[in-house]
Amino acid sequence: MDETKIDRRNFLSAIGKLAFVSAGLTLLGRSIKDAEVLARRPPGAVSEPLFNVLCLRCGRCAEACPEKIIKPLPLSYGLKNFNTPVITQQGICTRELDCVEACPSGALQKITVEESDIGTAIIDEENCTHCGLCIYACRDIVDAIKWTTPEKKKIYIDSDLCLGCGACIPECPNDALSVTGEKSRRAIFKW
Amino acid sequence: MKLRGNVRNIRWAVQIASLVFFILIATAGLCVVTMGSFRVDCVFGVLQGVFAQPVWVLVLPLLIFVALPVIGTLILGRAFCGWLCPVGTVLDAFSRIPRVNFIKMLGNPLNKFVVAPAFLIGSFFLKYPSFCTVCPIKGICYSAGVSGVIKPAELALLAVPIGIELGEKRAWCRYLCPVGATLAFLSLKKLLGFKVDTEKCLAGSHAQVCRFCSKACPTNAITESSYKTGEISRTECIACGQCYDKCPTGALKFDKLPLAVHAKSN
Repeated sequence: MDETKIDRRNFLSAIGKLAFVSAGLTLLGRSIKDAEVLARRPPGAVSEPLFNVLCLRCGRCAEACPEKIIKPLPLSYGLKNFNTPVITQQGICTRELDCVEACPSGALQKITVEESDIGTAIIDEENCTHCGLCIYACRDIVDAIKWTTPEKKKIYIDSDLCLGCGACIPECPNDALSVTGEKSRRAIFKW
Repeated sequence: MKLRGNVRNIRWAVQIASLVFFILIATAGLCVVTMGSFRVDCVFGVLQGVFAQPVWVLVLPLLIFVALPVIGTLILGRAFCGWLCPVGTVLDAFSRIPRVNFIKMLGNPLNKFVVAPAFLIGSFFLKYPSFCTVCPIKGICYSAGVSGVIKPAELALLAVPIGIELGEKRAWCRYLCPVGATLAFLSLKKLLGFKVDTEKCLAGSHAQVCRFCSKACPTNAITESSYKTGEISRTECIACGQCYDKCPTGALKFDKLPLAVHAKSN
């Protein structure tokens, strides 16, 4: 091609190609349905729509994590969430915030340990025997699991206090505890 | 050391240094380069972000981070493509391979100006920067993790640029790369660049046919009309300096360009 002129024919064909390619891309992207991410995001994560834009999917947070509990999401969660980091269900976050330090893009904002709130633990009422072992696991962290009455018959989780670190999960003999990323405190993008 | 004839060697040094920097030193590769409290973002990445999130007021501060590449391109044109881009460096390593001509379908430089907006529209509907998923620049930059492990999944993103490189030199950069397209769009008003001195050029003043520059040009930016007008395609030129190296009469020079694109320079 010697020279590229923008005449009417070229312009119309460019518009046609543009419509075709962008429709194709959008359909391809939508072909895998986006699943809602219920797992915990690493500490300091910005709100979910912005997180999808800012996160570079570089995996530096996963490499920096001292506990190695940050894993990239598989393709089954949709292209939008593919390779974005979450904390595994069984992982215990020790809140050393090495992931926050490692994040180059601002998707994980620089926060203090006190501000890190990555989710909430929930009790599966069917399996829970209200033995109270989890209470001791949480006592030194934020003391979010408590007895409902002084008679020590029933436990509950104070979701305002719970940080979602997951330290209580391995303590449970009946696998009645799990943790979700809902009710986490999302950071605001600052630079 | 004489400059003319050595631009290629200087460029190799700059390209290798940039490759090492983006793979091993910059933790987020080219996507975000942090320098103390300041950072420089990928132009096309930020553009996609603006399209992906209508709450883009929040992303607005990010626009400041592309100031350096935008101003740089307004001055030097697509010099990034020729001197710094890791994909360009890898493709240049293949510059001497024999070619198979299968590029006809693809071979229109305007195609990249279709691919880039298509990915912007895609980002708008998909709500995330869609090109970044398949970006080969990212592929190279993230190919080595912090711990030095090679990631084959990231390197595989290079398959398309290297595959079509078999057809033509820098085919990826010329026909498809949306990052290059963004820079090319900005380059339309670039300040500095190579141009042909029509007085000295053999093809212009004599009937002789030299065209060493056209043959050396990896992106076909120098065409027949360049010998008459002196103007080299602003969107295609990657300021690599191959033409400057090869010109026997010294008719090619790096100089201030006229502001109007189609004005005859002299």
